[in-house]
Amino acid sequence: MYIPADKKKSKSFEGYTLIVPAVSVGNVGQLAADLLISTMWLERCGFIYHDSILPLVGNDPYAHPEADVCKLVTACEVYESKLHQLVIIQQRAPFVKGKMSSFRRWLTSWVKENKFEKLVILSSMHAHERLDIQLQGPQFRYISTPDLEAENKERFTHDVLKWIPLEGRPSLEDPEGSLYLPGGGIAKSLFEDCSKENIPAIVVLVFCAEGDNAQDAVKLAYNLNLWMDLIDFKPKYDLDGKTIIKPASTWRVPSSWRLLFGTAVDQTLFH
Amino acid sequence: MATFFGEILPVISRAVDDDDDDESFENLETYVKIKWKKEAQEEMELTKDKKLQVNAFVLAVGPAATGFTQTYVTHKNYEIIGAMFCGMKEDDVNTFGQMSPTDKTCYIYRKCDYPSALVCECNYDIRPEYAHSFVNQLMSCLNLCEGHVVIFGSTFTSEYKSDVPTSDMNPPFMRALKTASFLGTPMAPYLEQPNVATGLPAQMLTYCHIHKLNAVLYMCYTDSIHLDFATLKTFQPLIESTPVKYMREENKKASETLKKIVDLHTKHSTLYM
Repeated sequence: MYIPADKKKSKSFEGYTLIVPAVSVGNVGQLAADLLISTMWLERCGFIYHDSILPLVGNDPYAHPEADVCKLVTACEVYESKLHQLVIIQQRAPFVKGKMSSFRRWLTSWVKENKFEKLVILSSMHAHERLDIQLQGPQFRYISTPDLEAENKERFTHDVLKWIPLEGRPSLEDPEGSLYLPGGGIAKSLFEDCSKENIPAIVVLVFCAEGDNAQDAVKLAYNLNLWMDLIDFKPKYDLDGKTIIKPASTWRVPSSWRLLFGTAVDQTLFH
Repeated sequence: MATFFGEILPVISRAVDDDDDDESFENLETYVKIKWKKEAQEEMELTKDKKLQVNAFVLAVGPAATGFTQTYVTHKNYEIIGAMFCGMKEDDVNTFGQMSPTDKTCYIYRKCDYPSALVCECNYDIRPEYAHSFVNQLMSCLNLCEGHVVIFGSTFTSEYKSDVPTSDMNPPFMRALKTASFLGTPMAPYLEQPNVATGLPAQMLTYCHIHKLNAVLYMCYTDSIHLDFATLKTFQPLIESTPVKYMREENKKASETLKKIVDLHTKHSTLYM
């Protein structure tokens, strides 16, 4: 269930966009969500407490590395930006095996209950499953429900974005080509659930392999930002026409990304 | 994926494919069962919300944490009022009779002269998948609104990531995390990013955090596979932590008890004796 951080403030998410990362290959969706939350300095507005997510606690992942305070983070939290009418879920722990459909059911009902305008699913796909034509060129793809596709067709095909829809795979059931997202976590089934429930949804993904996936996350976040206009990296004039504001010069990497490969090797090994 | 030596290995990925729902954990909600002694159940029936009023709660998870609480907290003036069982059916009978520190049990103790102080010593290896059910069942019987919670756990230094090499950290060492409602300062440094705690201790702390309870988690990082004296000693200063200091009495035989516990664990681990 969703538990607001501050029960006194009644919150309405009507008309907001919900960004959900899928636990996918390289954890790219979750890393991209981290970048968005960190760079936009988003505030946590609530928690998701569900028996389908394994437990996890830690110290503040977005704090300064030298900070010596304790701001607890749990397995699945919700961040919001009133300015951008945006809510981002960040999931830090894997699903319990067999419980993913239970979570999907809860999530789709939560989306409808809160009247979110659209759902953006961040995901990734196994690079070794690419078709020949996908081996070269941009590694970013999207797939969206027909209503979002119609609404955004011009933007997606525009020179600035040049987004490529994910190529379908012909299968025995569907010779035309159906959605094939190996390694994408719940992205495919969540997208299909949304299509059935008439929730406007879009899956954005990159092809990648497991490893240091920070750059894949940057690619995903960068493309999403081009479409949704969330962070402006270029300096620009303020409303008065004189003051220059520079919201961010680059993506702000959270301190939780440190030590990707663990503790440094103990040099006493080599004595 | 082909390796450098030419062998083909399966690709390991944390991404779980959708069709994984076929394998599922057996009876998530019913595998862990809480059973209370008759007197405790009767007490719960008498209260407005059918819960025991608790002002001080200690959850000890694992042999090191339970060894500590058995030596310094529950050794005197405590009675068993309940237990958690794994894999038991509703009508199975159990006498709460297994009392050795190394037995796989999970008993809930209450202080005889301070009835709102409870200690849960969990020596079971509760899998993270069952942690949600464990905490929900336990918390559905306890009213902790005004209370203090402390959680003791232990894990290996191999799980700990830092700039400093592990040998320089002088294991075993203690780290802490606290909920926002807890306004004091824990008796150990905060667990630094990117380290996290998982499993039952994490589930309990999450529950406390979400429900705005005062709670602290103390996690001992040890490099010893089996319980040893040094690990138990690392917990020792925590007898002054809130609320443990209000729930315990002096144990003059503490060193002997600790030695007995370590010996019991060592019996299973030595190859050559």
